Amino acid sequence: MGYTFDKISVMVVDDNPHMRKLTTALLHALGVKDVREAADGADAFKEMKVSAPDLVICDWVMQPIDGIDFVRLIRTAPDSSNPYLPIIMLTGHTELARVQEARDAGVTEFLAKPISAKNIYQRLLNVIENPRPFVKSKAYFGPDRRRKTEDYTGPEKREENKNKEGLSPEEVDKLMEE
Amino acid sequence: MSEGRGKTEYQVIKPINSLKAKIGNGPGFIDPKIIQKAEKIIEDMSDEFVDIAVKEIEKLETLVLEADSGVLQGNLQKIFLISHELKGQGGTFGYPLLTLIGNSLCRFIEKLENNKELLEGDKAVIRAHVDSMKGVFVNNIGGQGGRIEKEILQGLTIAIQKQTNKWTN
Repeated sequence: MGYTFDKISVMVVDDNPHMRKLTTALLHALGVKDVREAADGADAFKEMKVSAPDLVICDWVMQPIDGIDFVRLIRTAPDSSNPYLPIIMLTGHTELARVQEARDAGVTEFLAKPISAKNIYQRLLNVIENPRPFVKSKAYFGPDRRRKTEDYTGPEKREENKNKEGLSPEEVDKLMEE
Repeated sequence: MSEGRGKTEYQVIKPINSLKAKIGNGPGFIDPKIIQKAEKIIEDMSDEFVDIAVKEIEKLETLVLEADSGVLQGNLQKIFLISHELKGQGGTFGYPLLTLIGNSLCRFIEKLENNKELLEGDKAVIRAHVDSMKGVFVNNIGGQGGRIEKEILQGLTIAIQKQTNKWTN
């Protein structure tokens, strides 16, 4: 028997109404009934205290609080309702430095646009089946990043990728997972 | 549990997986028909995206036209944000060329941000990107591997190369 998503609640945070509508529609189609929406990080942070979602899917570029600041708020604000909340960052930023920034802010999964029903579903599965332990140190609180970039020997360190302007979805996955 | 890597003390915490408890027994499987149905939603929203994208490109044209009055530098952030959004959505809704043009423009603007003032050639490169984005919808170019698409991208790459060379010379 497979999974059913009808009992989980997801908050979608995106300042673009069209993308928000799409993400919500895809989640509904995958069986998620309880989808809350917010147009920016500040509203989402307030709303989370009331609705207590099981998962957040957020965009990066938003105002006044962008996706990265929103993730940091969830992870480290004293009044955060759930610092361990799984967060999927949905973004068009696929440059190496940006992916590292998202990971270091405490993002659980990175979903690079273009999006599809299949890759949203795969990210949901990853969050559920491979939950990351959390690491708490003086410098960092968030999902275990496994290996710091300076130790990383995966594809983005290869010579041919040094000057590349964007990572492929596979390279993004590798960076998030390794 | 506290552990140490060299001098760095850290604690590893395994939070309760509340999601797992709510979704039934695995392993992860979903009826492929459900995925197909969900993908159809993206197709259905594609026309809506075209209307939105055309309006956003018109906004870009206005912002670029203001270059003539010397305020383009102040508009760079707005141009970046719109291009970034088009870049993100283009591929999702079947216009991957729009994504590639948007990406090219975003990277060029990032490079420009280190410059003190905009040169005429910089403005021309931005205009060329906006014109190319417009061309995607005027000509309804839904792919990215064809001859026209390659020519467009190659043209933009050469224009950027020529212009960035001028910065250093």
